[in-house]
Amino acid sequence: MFGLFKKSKDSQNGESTPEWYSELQENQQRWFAFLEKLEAKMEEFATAAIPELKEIMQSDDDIYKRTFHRVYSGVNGQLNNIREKARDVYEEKVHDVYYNFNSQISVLSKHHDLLSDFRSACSDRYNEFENKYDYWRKQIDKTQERDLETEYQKILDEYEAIKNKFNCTQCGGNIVIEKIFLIQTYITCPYCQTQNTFAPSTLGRNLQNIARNLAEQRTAHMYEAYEAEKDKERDLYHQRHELSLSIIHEKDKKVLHEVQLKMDDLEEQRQFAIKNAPKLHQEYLRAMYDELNKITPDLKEHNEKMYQNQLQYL
Amino acid sequence: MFKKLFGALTGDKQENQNYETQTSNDNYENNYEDNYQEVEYDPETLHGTHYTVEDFDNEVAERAEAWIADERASGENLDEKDIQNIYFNYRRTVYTEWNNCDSDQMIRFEHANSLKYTGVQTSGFVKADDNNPFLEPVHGVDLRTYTAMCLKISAGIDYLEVCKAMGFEPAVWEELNTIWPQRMGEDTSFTVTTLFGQYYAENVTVPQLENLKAEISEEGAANLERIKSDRYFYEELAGARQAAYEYGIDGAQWILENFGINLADFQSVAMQWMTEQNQNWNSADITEFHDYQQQKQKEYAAKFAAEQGGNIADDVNF
Repeated sequence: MFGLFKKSKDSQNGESTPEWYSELQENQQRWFAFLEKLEAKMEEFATAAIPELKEIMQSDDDIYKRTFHRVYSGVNGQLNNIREKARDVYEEKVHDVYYNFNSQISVLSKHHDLLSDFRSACSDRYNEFENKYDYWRKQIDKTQERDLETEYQKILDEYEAIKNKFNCTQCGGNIVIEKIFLIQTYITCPYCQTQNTFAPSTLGRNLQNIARNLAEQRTAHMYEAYEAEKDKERDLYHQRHELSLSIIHEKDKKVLHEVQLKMDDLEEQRQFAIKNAPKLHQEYLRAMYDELNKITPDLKEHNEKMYQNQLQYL
Repeated sequence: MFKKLFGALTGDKQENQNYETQTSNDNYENNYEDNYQEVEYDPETLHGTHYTVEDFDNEVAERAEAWIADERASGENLDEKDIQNIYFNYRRTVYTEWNNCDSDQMIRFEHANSLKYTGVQTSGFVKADDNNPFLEPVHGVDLRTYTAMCLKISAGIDYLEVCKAMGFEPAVWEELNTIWPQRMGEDTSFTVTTLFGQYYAENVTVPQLENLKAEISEEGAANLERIKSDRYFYEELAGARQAAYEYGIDGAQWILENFGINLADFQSVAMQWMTEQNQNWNSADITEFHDYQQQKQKEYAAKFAAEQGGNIADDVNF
């Protein structure tokens, strides 16, 4: 059952390969060719879709970019469809085939390697495909990026253009719009005290929607610095771990001492990174919220509450 | 992954049959009575009635603190999150031990106590508390009324008409629609958001808005009733909607055009099923419905693909 008694039989067969091997070979070959074709489709599709998506993003006047999102979702749907196709075939022609033979062939059989090699070759190829999928997915994601500085500038320009052009409905006196209002607001006429309703334009209202992303974009470098510091912990841990492995058989005390010093140094750096990462995170958040308060001063009170909440989760 | 985890739990259950809905917390006990009849649960806290909540909390604290002391003694640096996790795990252990229950019952218990133990609300278990500053009315409009207005607007009624029925200026609505969402963001216990969802699921209304009805066809009304009572039909439409989006079709609009159900009503029913699922947590059912939705999504995807002349990689074969 465990193949213990097959040994003599195997050795008789010598170098020859078992008959099931041809099935594996064929599946592997087909699997590689299949993925290659899927990758070609994916590339062809994505390279055609990306400029189109960019074009729609530009021309979609809707502030929520609904047309863009509909098409974007359809493009991702097709990409996903390709990915699912690969996954289904992998399950059937690699995974299931492997387990089917694995239940019949002992791990002690010298031919078992053929089976393991089949699986690792196919799964490595599959990973390669998945990486390509990720790459195209990211390229498509990028079409969502909006030029927020330009959009913001348009809002500021519009505000400059309208701020002195609002007149009281009662006395006709000029009322200066003192800031960018995000929603309909009552403004009292300084001359006749009549309450006027000022309704911001669609463009002005959109400031609320883009403010956070714009603030994040402007402070992205600080977020990256925090992320890099956070990643150091694992990195330094692994460096130290490798050193500790390297001296398992080391007898020379001098070498041991030197390596130990290096390890201590790495540990010190690691502890520093652990403490420093939350600090950098907080600095980023503070800067981001400062930026946000600059963009939407009316929402400062709310923004600050959100900041305080986020601090709790650092 | 989800499928694999729970895949073994589902057999070949019958399709397209009305699922027996469980609408109260008490019903699920019937299902589990056979196995766990010795344990009686408090309907509010879902703790077994054979011990006190205080005893339970003490036991959890004792075990958790012993573990924490042990960890610290061996030089581990425990932060707030680690400690919370340790408590969380011991709560599960003690609850399961003391009540001799399965993981579904344990999850129901966690849902019922999520605010107390984790500071976060779970849909289906939130009660309006008058002393909560986050729930204080805005311009005299409480969260329930605000939700009722949102329901009308997402059902397709013009917000100006909703304002008129409520008797206030559009500017007031705009403030409401700024302040309530802000509070949802600020409230870390998610009470505002969750309660909004619960009201949404109940399809709440207020007397001022009762005469404002979104237009609904006879067929739409019948379909709406059906997604409320027939979970399989709801899952089918949810799968269809998802498939539509994947083919670049506005899924919500597609549901409206083909089944006569508007977005507000559809979302309300979705919330209703989610709340009921939280209250009567049963992993076998969850898997069953999840798989059913996936299967329907595939069927509709095939239909949409055919309409669009196929998928781009249809001609690639193994």
